[in-house]
Amino acid sequence: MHNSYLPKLAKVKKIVLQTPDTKLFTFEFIDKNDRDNFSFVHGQFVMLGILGEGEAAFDICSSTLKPKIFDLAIRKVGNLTEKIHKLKVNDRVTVRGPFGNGLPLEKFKDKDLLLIGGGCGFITMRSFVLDYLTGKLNLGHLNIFYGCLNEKNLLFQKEFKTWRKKVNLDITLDKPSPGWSGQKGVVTSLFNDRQDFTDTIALIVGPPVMYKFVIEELQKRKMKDADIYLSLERRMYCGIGVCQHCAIGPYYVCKDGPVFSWEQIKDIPGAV
Amino acid sequence: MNNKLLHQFIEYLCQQNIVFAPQKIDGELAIDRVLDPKKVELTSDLPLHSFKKILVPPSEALFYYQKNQLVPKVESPYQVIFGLTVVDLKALTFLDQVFAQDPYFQKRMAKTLIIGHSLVPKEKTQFFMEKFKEDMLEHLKFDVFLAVQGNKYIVYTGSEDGQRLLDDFGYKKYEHIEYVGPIREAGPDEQMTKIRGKFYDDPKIWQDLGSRCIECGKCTLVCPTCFCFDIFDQPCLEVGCGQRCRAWTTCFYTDFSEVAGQEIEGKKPKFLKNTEERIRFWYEHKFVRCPDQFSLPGCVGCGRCTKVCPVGIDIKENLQRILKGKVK
Repeated sequence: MHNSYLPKLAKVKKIVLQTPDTKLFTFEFIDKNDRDNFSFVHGQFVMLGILGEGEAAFDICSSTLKPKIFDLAIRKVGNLTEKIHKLKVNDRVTVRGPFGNGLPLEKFKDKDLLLIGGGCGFITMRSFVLDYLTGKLNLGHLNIFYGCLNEKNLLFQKEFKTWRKKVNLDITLDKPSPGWSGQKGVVTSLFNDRQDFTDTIALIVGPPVMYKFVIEELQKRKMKDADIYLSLERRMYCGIGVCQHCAIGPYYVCKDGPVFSWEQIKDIPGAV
Repeated sequence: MNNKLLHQFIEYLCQQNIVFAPQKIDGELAIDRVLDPKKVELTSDLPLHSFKKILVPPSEALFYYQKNQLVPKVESPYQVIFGLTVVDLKALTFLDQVFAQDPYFQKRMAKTLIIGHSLVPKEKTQFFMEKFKEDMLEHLKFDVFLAVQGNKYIVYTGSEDGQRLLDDFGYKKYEHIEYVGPIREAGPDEQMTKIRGKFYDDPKIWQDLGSRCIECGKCTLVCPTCFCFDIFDQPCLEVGCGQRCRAWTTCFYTDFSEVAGQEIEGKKPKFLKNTEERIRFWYEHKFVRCPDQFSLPGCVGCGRCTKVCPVGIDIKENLQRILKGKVK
């Protein structure tokens, strides 16, 4: 019987400082079999741990086409992430997963994809972008709305130039420095006069407070609830729908999610 | 099997194995390790704590670690749990579904002989509990089952291990019942389906319960089907060594749904924000998620939660209220 609780050992291969409190880590499994057997889809997550400190869930943010190594962008916000930030190259970690359903991209052939990310939620978008840039995703246009606090907190900034060759990336800053010439305000301010979302699928990832307002904007523009997807955050332990921590109504965020359509969860009390 | 032979059987079990069974301990009925076979009770009364603590331990190691290497867990010993009522056998059968893919639970089950009996608790909770009928046996997990008839016992086996045990003991007059899974041919429990259908009709139920419940979590401890857990690392004194554990928790604790992030009014962000949401979550698990996932109710009607509740919350009343639907 497969033991889902037994992690694989991996090592830190690379660390790139992204913002004052977020680092982009590249991990590689120690064992060759683990490297060969690892694959994931957009929106899935792993349980990353340090022996002696415990585990937590993180969305994978690298290309699904290069699964032998994988990236996690981790913000220092709690006990475990503080320890993770102290890791150095070649340090050991434990990895379980990938877990969750991801976004069923194969269902959206030739449709446009609108990714709406707020704060840390933007991390999840990177694996979509990296794969889209290779031209191997059967999608129409890829548009991204990114709401961030200020210039210093912008994630993946150095990659934007490459991204923008194929991807339409709109950024708004809530509290920019005086020199900022771009959009100001929360992420919904990027909707402005954009009206046309026909043949578009939206994925929203961000802090809980963001969902309601973004969904309203999309609905105003006649987007169907079944075309609006959300990736939800919850406390997680097992990753396989047993421990109950991440449950919402009849679903488990770790197993049935983390990506849900709004259609699926709109009537569940406490879902967003 | 008569009483005399039954006592010989219990003594025989205790000679060979670690046996857990209901006994009076300090005047209270409890399932515990049997040290004196004469103290074992075959009774319709339910011990406050069920067998759960034996098969789903309050805390257990998932693996050990030593200087960045994972060390597998030591295997659990052979054991016998004697004297489970049909109600608790139902709970065990339910947990066997929940942990169907769980190597820790299944390894422990494989090394545990389950011996049940047909006495049904006197208290009627009206929900999910019924008198013993022979045809329910094929839907229960057990190795040996004793159907009480007057002062005699009709003996059934539910597994090869059970058959072997009785053969070795020298008792031949048993009937074998093949386990066919937890759900009857007629389909899932009708009461369960009705409660599921009406669960969200009257939100006032949760407001009322939220104002009464004091979130002590006692109901989750004594519930034979509550199983939710945390996973955490427990370092030992030697540097770089320790174990990754899983341990019971309760969804009534405020940290159950807490996540990392900026504190709001001195509190960490959480998704179950108040007592109302937390008690609804508990009922939701038993009467929404379990039915959806396993076609089984997450409740066997034992009434233990009602018995221990310090503020008198009665599960029977609440289920009746859900069934009544929204009162205008």
